[in-house]
Amino acid sequence: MSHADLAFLSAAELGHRMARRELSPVEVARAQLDRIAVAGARLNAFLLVTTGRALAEARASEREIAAGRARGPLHGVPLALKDLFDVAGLPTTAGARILAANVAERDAGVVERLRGAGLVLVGKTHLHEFAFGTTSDNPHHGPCRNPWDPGRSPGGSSGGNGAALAAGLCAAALGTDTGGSIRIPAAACGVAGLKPTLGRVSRRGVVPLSWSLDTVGPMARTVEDVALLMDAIAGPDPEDEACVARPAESFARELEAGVSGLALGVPGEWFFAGVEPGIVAAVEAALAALEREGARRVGVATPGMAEAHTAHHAILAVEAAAFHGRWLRERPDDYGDDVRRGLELGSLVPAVDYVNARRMQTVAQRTFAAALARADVLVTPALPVAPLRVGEPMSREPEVAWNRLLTPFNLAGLPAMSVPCGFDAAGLPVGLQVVGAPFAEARVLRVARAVERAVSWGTRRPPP
Amino acid sequence: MCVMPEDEIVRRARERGLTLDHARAAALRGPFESLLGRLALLAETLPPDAAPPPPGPPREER
Repeated sequence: MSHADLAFLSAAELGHRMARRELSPVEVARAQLDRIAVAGARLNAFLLVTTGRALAEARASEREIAAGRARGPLHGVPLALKDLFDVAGLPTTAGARILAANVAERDAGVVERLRGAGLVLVGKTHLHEFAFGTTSDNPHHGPCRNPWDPGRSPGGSSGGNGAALAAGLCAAALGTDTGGSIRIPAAACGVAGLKPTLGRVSRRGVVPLSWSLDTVGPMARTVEDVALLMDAIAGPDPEDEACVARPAESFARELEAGVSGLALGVPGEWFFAGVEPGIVAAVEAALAALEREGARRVGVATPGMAEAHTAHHAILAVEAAAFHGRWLRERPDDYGDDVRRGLELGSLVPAVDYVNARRMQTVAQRTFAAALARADVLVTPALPVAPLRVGEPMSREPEVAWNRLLTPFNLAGLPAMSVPCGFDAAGLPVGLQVVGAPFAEARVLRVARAVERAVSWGTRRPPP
Repeated sequence: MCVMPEDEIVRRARERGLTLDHARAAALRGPFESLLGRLALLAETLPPDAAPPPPGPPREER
């Protein structure tokens, strides 16, 4: 098998073949590292490549599997981490000059879990500075680029993850999503990404952006891989008081159940008005395919989405300003301009407005609870427009913001996923968003898997 | 939408320990006025019984 074919195997397939000793974890790690050295550099997808560590972990995996001590379905699978997660002994920079010398003493909670599952860390990926933005155009490291069109952004803030997965530089990745930072790069790069329910996955050891909104979640090339990663990372963390004490479960349990009999709630105006026709066409085609498989399409009302986006913006900016307050006062010139301006803005928002924005969280939860009383999941486009061109400024205004179809679900804390559903006329990937009730990740994954099956991409890959 | 002089933005920033020159205040004014204006509209829509959510994840509705 060529390095290129190896690089695009799913994490599940890699794990399966390694468990059967048909593939060597060392061979797989070497293939990924070789590709990272070339394509990873061209796309600027990684901030740190952990070559020696990856090969050592791969050798250890090989020994354990050979000794009959396989740890599970992802043992030996190459993993990338957004450079927001602590890994003991490695820098956690958040893509920022301010944290350039910050070396973690301990693994983040989710890193402990992934290490326990036997994944092999190949590197830490590029991101928008401090995860506070959607383009991954980073003033300290330059822009990360989209493998489908290197003149375009891979999205952000977990842009390096999206680029690395789409280009076959890793098989699994972990990101964070505060206002779309998993789903934007997933949609823009044609991969799958899940923002779990707020509190479902530990955030210990992850640089925060907004305590009321931050979530940690998986990204991969297939829905099954996302489910397997959720199996590995979800669960209580007694050291993270924001992490719920729910027992572990199988997120893949419904994966192949199909959509027959399910009600797909399709909201109107906010989620389709102003969306590029090529994106609407791809999402409608996917919905029609799901209806042919027995799903039922129902219209649902979701009023107040502009207000939800505004509330999200205010909460994120204010809480980020609180976290960054000391650095912003003492080292303002060490921030990139857009992040500094966003933090300064957050510093100025009056307390009454912040509280009203938090009250809007309750309103959004009520709105979506009513919609989800009529439907099993909600389905919308993930992004309203094609990936932005590198250097194109992002807007946070609700009518034009790149993440405006995603932020309402961060505000409400709901599980939401972007899954590839086709291409636009320019050949750029289109993401479809599936949203579920609190803790209904398995249902979201089931519908996303049905989309994946219905609109199979075959062997289509980004240009080498 | 409110119209806020740059001096007022500089003053508010100083109260929070931030140093803004007039160029930065000018760059901030448009987005700040827009956000405050939208937050004012948002406040008008809030039902009286909408409190901020309690700490923790959202409740399971179904």
